[in-house]
Amino acid sequence: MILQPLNTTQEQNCFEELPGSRNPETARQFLFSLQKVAPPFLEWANASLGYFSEKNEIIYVTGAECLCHIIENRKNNPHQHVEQEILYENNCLGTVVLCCPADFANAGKYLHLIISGITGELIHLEDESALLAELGMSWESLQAIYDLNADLNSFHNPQKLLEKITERVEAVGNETCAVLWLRDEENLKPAASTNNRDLAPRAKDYGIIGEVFTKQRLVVCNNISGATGIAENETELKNAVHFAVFPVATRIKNYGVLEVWQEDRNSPVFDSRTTRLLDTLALQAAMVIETESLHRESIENEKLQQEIEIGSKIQQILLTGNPPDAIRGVKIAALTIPSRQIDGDFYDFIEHGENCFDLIIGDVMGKGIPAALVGAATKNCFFRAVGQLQSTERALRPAPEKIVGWVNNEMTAKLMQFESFVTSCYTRFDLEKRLVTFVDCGHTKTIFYNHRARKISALEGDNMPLGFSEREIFKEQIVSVETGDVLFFFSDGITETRSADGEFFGDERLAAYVFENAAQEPREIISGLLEMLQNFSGETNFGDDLTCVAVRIEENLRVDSEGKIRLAIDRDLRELERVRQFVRKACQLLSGKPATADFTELFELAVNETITNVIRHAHQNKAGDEIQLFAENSDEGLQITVGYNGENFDPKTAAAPVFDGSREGGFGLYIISNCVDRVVYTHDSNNQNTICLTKKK
Amino acid sequence: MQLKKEKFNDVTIVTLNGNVLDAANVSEFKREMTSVLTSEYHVVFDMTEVQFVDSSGVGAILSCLRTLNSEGGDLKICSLTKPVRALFELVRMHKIFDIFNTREEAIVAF
Repeated sequence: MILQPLNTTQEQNCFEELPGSRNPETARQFLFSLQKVAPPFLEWANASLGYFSEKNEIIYVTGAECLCHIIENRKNNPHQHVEQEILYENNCLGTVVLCCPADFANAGKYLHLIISGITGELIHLEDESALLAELGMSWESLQAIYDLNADLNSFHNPQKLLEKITERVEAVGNETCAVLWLRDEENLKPAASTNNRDLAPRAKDYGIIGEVFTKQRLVVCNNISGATGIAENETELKNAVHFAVFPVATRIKNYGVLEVWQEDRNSPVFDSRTTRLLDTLALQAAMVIETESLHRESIENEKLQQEIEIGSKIQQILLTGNPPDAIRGVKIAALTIPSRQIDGDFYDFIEHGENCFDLIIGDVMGKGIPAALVGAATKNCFFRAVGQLQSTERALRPAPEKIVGWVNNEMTAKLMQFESFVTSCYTRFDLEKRLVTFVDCGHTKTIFYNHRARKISALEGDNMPLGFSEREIFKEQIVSVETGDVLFFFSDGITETRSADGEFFGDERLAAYVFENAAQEPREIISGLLEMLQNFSGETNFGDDLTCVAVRIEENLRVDSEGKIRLAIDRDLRELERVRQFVRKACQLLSGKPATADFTELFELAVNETITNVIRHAHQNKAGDEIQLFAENSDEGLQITVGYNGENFDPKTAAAPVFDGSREGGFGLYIISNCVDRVVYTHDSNNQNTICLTKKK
Repeated sequence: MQLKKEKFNDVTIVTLNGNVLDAANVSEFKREMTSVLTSEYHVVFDMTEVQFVDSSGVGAILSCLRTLNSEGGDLKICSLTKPVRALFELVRMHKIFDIFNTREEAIVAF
């Protein structure tokens, strides 16, 4: 679990939006002063005093006699009752209400004098040095804070510390009761208390505790026994004579509240000194929690980093293999990025000679090290399957469906024990026959880009994942592939990557990406995708493993048994690049000695012009719209023959080139005849044309 | 294909984004050159990156020269690679175009 960052804006906002908490510090200072100045006057007049916020919420009350008047009947008792709004630097800090028993003569007059005396004194708010001076008066209070700070130096067990804080509170007065409430999502939950009270959690805005929590303003009520209307919802306060509630908060976060009370009638009130001391202890509690959460966060980060490293090692060593580099006619790139929780994604390759290989890709249901081990076992089982079937079936290349069936037989019982299963796709690339055979077992659908049709489709089978049933019969499917086609295999970590708004990356976005980038090198397809995913999610660490393999079918130009190199192309000018590649390869493989750059460049130009002419001018028949090329050695030199179906064409009828710059075309045939040594054109009755270009070595 | 266009005083330098100018991309080249040809008089075609040009490519460059000439402007070519120069010489275009080794030489030649 990752801890929430401490400075969430949500928390900060709740500070700012609270009405009446614009000047909590000033109001608090005023409260302390009020506690200090008021008691002698109150005693003399046997009066009660209340201090209320702008919204009539209790901040401070003291004196039991007239509490009911203060709380309930403020407005109905004008003679015995005075109130005054406290203004400080144009801010209203609340209202102070004073009242006395009905039998007190001249009550109104005295009360006015008292209240103006009190508030007049108070308006000069005290500075912090006064607080220190006051705390210094009490050795006990200094000792309490000192002890607490000493405890805080070792924060191995925050629960113990919180208990210690409540113990200190208990020691502040004789037998002070205390509960430390901490926020737990939408509730406040007792985290520590004197006498280990059994209290149920409360909604974080419920009652006087909730009020202190949400408004960040401490409340002190003295001499309340017998009074109604105060703390009626708090069962623990039913015997309280005096009580006070303090916010437990630092500047960055609001953690909870500290509730304290006295049940003994003879216990002293919460005067300004005790209030300040308890307030300091509440702050200390907040510090303990904050230090603890910062500490835990840093440990979590370290652990996260370690887990990612372990995951990455497991993946490299156990779950992935290197793409083969000796296979002709294909380019392969693979990527896996481990997440903190290893998913057990795996892939590997099995080579069958230079024109054929198998790709295994799979995803284990489950997470963590167990999933990684299941992935590794399943992957190795495929290798064993191939070896076994090669010997028992005497087949050099056992059929993919048989391999998958063997693995399923071997693994199902084990997978069931683990309560796991494996989705996978086993794919054979036969680059000689240009066939791809695959057995899809519930894996993500492979994206197939068909270069010729410029279309994207999904390769999907209907086999069950491995580990579902030992009786499952697996069926393979075959697609034929051509140069430029791309197959993109992936795990669901890619499509399930989420944006900051929670939107999935999704199949469609991935398919569109592959479509647009199919012409790129496979490793560029993958690195571009990774960049796109990082931009999409806004993160560099992903929640799931990201695994993908991109395979692009390349030109498989090689000298066949007749000593020829062959190529077939569409009648499309975009094929010219392939044609030139073919000429370069022919010059390289057939010329015996390394062909000079001039030789290759001139031949390339001649064949390029020939093909351009055929595509532009020769009308195609319905059948056989391909243009065939083959290169071979002849007695005279290197020979490239272009065959196509179309109308007869006599090169002699072509106009001679004009070199004065007045004509932009008409150079083609001139270029061809000047780049090679011999050009022979033939046409037969089937409308089959051949153009044979020969260049002396 | 997207041509790169840079301006040096009254001279516009055009660079091909890619290394081939052949029958497959020549129409795109012509289309993208139209805006240059209708708004500029002095144009340099910098061919540093171009490794292959075929007859269609030469024809397109020739067409640019003729369009500019008919408006009283001029096209100069610079930085031909070896295979491209070989083709220019084969179809004798080195006699039709002003060809320079560097773009600086081409710019000051107007």
